[in-house]
Amino acid sequence: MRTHKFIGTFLSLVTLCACQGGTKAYEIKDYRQVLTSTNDTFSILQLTDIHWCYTTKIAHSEEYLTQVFEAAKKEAGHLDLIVITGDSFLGADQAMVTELYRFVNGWGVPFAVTYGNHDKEGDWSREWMNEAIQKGENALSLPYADDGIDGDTNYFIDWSDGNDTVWRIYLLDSNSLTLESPFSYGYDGIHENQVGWMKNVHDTMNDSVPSLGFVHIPPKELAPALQGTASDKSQWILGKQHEKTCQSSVDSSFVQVAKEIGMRGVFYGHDHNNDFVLQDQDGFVMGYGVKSGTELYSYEDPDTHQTLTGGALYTLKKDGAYDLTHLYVDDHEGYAVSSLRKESLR
Amino acid sequence: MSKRLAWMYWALEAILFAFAGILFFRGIRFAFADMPHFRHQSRLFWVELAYCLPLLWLGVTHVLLHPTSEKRHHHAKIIGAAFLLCLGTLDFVFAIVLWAKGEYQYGDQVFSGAFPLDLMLLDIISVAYGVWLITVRKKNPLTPLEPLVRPAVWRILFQDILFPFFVGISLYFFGGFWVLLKHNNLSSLQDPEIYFLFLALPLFLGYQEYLRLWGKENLSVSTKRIVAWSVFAWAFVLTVWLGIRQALVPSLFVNAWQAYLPLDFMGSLNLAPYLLTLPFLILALKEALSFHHKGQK
Repeated sequence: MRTHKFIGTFLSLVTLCACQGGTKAYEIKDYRQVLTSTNDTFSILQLTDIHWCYTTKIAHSEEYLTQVFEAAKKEAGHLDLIVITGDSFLGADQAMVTELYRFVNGWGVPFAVTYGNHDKEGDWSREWMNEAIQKGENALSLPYADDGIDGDTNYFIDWSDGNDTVWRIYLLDSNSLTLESPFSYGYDGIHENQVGWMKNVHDTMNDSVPSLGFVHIPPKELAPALQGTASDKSQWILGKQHEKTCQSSVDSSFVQVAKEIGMRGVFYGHDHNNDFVLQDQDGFVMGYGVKSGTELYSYEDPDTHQTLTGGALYTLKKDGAYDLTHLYVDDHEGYAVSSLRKESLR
Repeated sequence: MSKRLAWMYWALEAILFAFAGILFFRGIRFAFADMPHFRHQSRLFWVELAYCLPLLWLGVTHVLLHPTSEKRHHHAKIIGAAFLLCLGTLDFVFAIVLWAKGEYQYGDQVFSGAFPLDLMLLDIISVAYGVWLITVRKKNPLTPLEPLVRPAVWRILFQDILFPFFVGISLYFFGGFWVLLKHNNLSSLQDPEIYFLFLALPLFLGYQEYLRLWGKENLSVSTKRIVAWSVFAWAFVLTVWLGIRQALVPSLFVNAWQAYLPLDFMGSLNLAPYLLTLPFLILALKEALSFHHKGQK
């Protein structure tokens, strides 16, 4: 009898826990943030793959990230937005999450986060993390877990000059892993309902402003684009490749639709030792940012012993062109700074 | 053994299980955080070892409370004492050295507010336990695990390999459940956690029940058979349910398990669900079938 009661109680509890919430309908304006600036340019600093974890010496990492921030401010003259493209943590606790976003918020520059494949690996729930990235007066993130669209960090930021939108920044959640076989996973990517959402944003806003996209995992189209440049590097814009690319393994119309809606390029992180940026056969730009720190693994030049870490700077112009700068801040004593720049990309 | 004493032993093991599980989970998480190059082990290894010491306490205590043979009891005392003394002492010394060198800072919140004193306390308890083992003379009555004589290979496979593996998994997920409770994240308690927490623990505790009750003449084989088959049925239903859930929602494990199976997800492998479910089913089935052996009434 005791066994029957126990089993009955257990099954009831399990049934209750298995009940999932429904979805909610949001309007396009709920996904929109606006940054107003009357400057001639709008500068975005991309930080990626910060990878705080239990082994991280927080004080050193904060000092390093401050060096990157200062170098970017000096290079650009002013910073209008910081975009963090995922993998900020891997095996960390809530105190670390709170500290990182408190620290970034303290720079006084609006910042926006999109998740990477590792951001779920910690002592927190999805809901808690979604709240954490919205804390602070400079936080712009708009994560929705209940909108029926895959991934949470799908939203956009408009640069407005006070009257009109000048540029649009899309941030999309490239999810994490997808089951490829019963025994293995591949990297996930942008799902079709997210692409549908992006198209819906474009159609609803009904303006032909140029845009950039920021995700974490490179799209599947990176592989053929890279292969196309194997014998001819003229389509490479800047940067280097030091490891095999781990792009998304899912088929998606993301890049195709991105081109249709006037996106000029998509930028990502994920592969720490790569920072190359190239154009595909249609001139669409696809590029890595620069890994921000040496946590987990990073590339160090065997000759100079300088780390391929820092940040990527995007200087948007009102004529629809943008400059791309990769800032390398060496994570050794002295924090030596160097950079590669490409101007007037369209 | 009196019933009161038997329940006291059961409570002691339950407390040790909970404590060991919480710290074991923490130690494993630190180790995984240092993948793939393990660059920080010179600083972390001694912390991870200290977090795993309660596991040793639990193992030694279990064998001492439920000795299955004179030989096993003797080995538990000698080998257990040796490990406790050596590991506890070594860990304590390295903690002191690393603290003196500045590698550890007092109150480093990554570990705890009392770090590294709490780590050293675990070492001191280990050493004290080892010393006590050497000096203790009391012996508990033997608790044979098998109702029938079996080939040694089965005993080795199930008792010495599968069961400790199962205990390790139970400990790890209990620790994970504790983290959920601590951070008030019960809303994120999704199917995989339920499976392993509610399957692993009852199976383990049920098995402990067998050990505690075994030998009681008024407990019939048919009663034990019913309990054993109930546990297997529970394991089977939950395994099938989990399989159906994943077939319907392929991202189930990815969304719910990433924080608990870093080894799988760092290697992009989907092995853990099989490694974790099959031993449970095998162990439960083995227990249930053992009551149907020819000659059993």
